[in-house]
Amino acid sequence: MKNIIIFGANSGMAEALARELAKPDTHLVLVGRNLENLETLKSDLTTISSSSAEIYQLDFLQYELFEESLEKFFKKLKVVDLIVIAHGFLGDQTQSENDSLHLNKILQTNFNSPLLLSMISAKYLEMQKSGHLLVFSSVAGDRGRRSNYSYGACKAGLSTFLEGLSYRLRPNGVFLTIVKPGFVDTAMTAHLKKNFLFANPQQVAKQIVKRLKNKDLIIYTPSFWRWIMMMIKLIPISIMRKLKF
Amino acid sequence: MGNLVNKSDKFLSWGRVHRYTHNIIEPKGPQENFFSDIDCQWVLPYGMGRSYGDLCLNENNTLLWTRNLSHFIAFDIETSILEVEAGVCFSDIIKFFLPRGYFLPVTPGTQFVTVGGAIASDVHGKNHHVDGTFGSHVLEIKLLRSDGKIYECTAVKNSDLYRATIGGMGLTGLILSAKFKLKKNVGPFIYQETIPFQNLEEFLLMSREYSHKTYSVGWFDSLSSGQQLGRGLLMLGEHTSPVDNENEFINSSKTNNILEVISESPNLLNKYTVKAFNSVYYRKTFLKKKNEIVSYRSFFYPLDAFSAWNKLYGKKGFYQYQCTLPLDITSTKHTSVHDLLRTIQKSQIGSFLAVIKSFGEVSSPGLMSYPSMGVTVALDFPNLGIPVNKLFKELNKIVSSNGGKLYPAKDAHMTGEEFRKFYPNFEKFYSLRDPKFSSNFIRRMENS
Repeated sequence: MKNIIIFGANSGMAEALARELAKPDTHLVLVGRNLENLETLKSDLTTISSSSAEIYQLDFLQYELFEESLEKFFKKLKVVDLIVIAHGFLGDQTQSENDSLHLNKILQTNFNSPLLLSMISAKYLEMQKSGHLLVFSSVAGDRGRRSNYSYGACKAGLSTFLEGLSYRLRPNGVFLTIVKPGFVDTAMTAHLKKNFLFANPQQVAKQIVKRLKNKDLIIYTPSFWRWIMMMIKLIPISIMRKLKF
Repeated sequence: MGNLVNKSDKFLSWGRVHRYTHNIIEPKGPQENFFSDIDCQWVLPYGMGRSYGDLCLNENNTLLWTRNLSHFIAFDIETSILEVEAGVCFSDIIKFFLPRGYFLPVTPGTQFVTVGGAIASDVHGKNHHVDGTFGSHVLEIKLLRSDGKIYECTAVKNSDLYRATIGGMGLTGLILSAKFKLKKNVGPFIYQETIPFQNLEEFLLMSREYSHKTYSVGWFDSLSSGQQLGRGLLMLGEHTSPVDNENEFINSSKTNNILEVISESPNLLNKYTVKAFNSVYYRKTFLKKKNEIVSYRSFFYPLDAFSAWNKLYGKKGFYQYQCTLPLDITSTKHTSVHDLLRTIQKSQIGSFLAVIKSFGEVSSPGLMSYPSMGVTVALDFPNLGIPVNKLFKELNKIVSSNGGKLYPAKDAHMTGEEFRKFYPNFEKFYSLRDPKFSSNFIRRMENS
């Protein structure tokens, strides 16, 4: 039996990923805020495969509950093979410039929360000396951009933190992977105009699962984003100043 | 969560003729005040946009895009009954259930339709003469109406709504989920028999002779005439039993995207290319009978291999014409089907795909269901403007004066008067529709 915990299980990307991970010999713990949506996902996963699943309600801004939740999971499951941290909040850049509550929500949801969860998860995985931690960051963290630097900064900080954490975990038998998706057509981006760069979450999920076995530190998905970001990182500041993206 | 509204001009029907702007809302499960928060006159559910005419369009109004209603709900191994949300695609059902030996009770010629769409158009397949329409396998529908209530509809409970929703063109409310029975002990392969027929008479004789076969469909050459009018190939199929062949399922969702590249190209399917194709196809495969084992994909969904074949018709798009003509079983000599094929042949605007099939007797619970006993013919026509419109008028006359009917999911030319004649249950259906729901198609029917 393979045990998998997914935080932010109802995000568009996590739902697609959960479908890819649901195999007859897996047990999934689906963690999210909305019980009804979690129930829907649970029935979906157990119907399409003969995997088993349980749901667990958690508000990702209630940091004080993280420790006890993870303790509970590890006590019950004994061994956890994979922990996925997928919750996030894109927010609105312009609003974050004028409304510090909105900015704070972006910071809390995309930085504090996944970072704290990663740190606590790491501790438990380290204790069992095995397992894989998969955290969703974003290509937005690779460079400061005019159009989404609030969200981008959180993802940049998160990625830096995770890179360091991975160096601590790997000698102890625990693997860590940072996923950096490009544009994915999910609820998070429903309000954005779509172009050819948008991938669907099913493709992205499939690719992540396929590449998980390599135990790479960073997965760009779809993989061409690796090259796009490489180019974007090379753009001189003088030109970045003139770009609006 | 409130309704997120986007304006979009990207939502087309499969024929790509009509270009409208829509407001897009993506419902995610039943929500309170869902409808009262929508501030436009009419809404219409939209799934994969695989109907051809204006049935899935709602110009300057709202489409309820069901892509987030894409969850499986339950499957009962004892009874093979599957319950899914309305936005679940047939391709996903196949992906998850064919490896376990289950298949759709009825499938149209593409696997990229949603369950909601399949119910709304009460789709049929190559097994209509044995199994009826998809709607005849639907046991329960959960329907969200604009009064805010969810109706559970079955043959006995809310049976009027149940019958109005099957084939109801999405106008009776938003289908949230449905239950239907899958075929069991089915493998991923099909025993396919291909038998040539020299003309329409032969087709009619043969489809009677082989009516015991589960799947049966004819392909015909719409440009042949005289003694060869309606020459073609009859394809028969039976499921193989389940096998442990993983390979058949790998890459099952892979499609060919080459056609995307030439998507907005000029019309490549003109009279000459079609004629050449038909001739080559005939010579290559017509001359002898053939038995083979093929994958379910090549048997049911040959066109799905080209993910956007509809774009081959160029920017102006195309029409599909599908009608059914009742048939007196005893006569095969001079029928209205002959008149129909002759008129099409004379027009010289033949199509890439010309399909002919005998419908059976199994009746659907749907009030507005299209298939009925007789012969159905389906063809594509490039949107050439006046010549096509003229031809369709002529064809409609043949259909109308011989007690036939047209398929709303393919239609863009029918008049309201014809529609009411073809569908005698229309008045009853109309009284059961949801007043908040409308489409370009139904407005066209109301106003003509």
